[in-house]
Amino acid sequence: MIALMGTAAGTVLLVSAKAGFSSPTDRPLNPQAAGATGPVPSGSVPPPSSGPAPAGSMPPGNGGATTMTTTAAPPAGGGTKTTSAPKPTTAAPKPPRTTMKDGTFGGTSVYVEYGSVELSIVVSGGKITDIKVLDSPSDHSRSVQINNSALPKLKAQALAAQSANIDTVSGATYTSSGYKLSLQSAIDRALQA
Amino acid sequence: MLVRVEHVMGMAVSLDLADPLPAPELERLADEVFDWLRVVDVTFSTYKADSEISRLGRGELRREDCSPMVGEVLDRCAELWDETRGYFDIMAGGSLDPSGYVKGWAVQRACDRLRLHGSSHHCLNAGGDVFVRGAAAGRSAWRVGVRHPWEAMSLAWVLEVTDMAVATSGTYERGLHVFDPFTGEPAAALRSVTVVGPELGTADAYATAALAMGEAGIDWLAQLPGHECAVVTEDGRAMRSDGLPVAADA
Repeated sequence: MIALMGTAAGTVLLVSAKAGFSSPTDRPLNPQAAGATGPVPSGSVPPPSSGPAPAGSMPPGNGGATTMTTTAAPPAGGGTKTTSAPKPTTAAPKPPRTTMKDGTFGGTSVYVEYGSVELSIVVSGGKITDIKVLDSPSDHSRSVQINNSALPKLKAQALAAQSANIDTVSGATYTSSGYKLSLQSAIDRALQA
Repeated sequence: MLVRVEHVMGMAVSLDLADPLPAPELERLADEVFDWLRVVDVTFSTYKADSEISRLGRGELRREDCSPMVGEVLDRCAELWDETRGYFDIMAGGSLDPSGYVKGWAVQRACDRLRLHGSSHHCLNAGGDVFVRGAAAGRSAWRVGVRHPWEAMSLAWVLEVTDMAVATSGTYERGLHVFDPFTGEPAAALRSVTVVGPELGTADAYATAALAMGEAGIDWLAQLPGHECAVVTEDGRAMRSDGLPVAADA
């Protein structure tokens, strides 16, 4: 029997310039970028480079700027910016595989439906502890569309991916070139390191 | 413990041997796996004009002149056509192409040979279709992530499986490449279909057939005996069967 789950997948990529928000749980923030776009004193004018960006016109390498649209009038003394994502917790930790070497793997650019992103996985203590998005899509129109329809339903499960500690990945058949950009490839590299 | 990746049959194939065997023995087992997959490729590739399947398709070979394994594969594909109400169709593209079954079948055969030759713990992943036996090093099973159909580095489910095949068909890697054989239209309603079962060739064919069925494939999957499944529709609904072996901590 098939049951509607009502949960699922979210994404590290769901940053919407149009909607003007970014979930810190979705996207680990670069501390440097956070510093550049940090709390704005009440009444001050954000510098142009970190102000609200019109959709589709985000400068490359300034992914953190998307959160600035919400900080025009922050509470007194309060920064609204979170500089680090909460660590996902694992309910029942298993002994980690000792064969996965610590380090950061990947860094290749991955083409997703609505743009190109750069990702890497972080291995610590023999397990995958984080997946980092180093660059975000330049065209957000598609992600906005998904955000408004599909992804709220999928959100809960994709966040688990960051602490999933998996051995292999099943997915739609990719080509040899597609493999280079896959999570499976990152896992294989970590195991072979 | 050995991990090896080779490109064969037009895709990357990742082998993880988790047996506590001497390294030379593991290397020999891995050699056998990839040698076998290369034989399968030479025989069944529709991209090689001189493969048996290409020559059979052009009528240059009679079926009885082909290797016994060609007959075995075609017989099983005929059964699968029946089991899937015609939605798994090796003639759907207009010429003979059993690739949708061959990959899973070849991986399954490789794993069955591994067991015969002394490996009790292995995972073989061919382009996203997986068979696992025993357990990963330091675990009681294998943890298989099911890729999130919109995010390449995210997962929609994490399964804990042993002695089991996990096959996924989807539209997100190669576009709308599966067609409804009755309408000729590309199948677009389902974005990702994952089937878990005892044999990878069958699981893969079922996943592809459900994708071709579209929305109706969800109900069809639900009544399949001995198989569990997970589906994500193009409009973002996620569904799974009650018995899907989801990891307790995922």
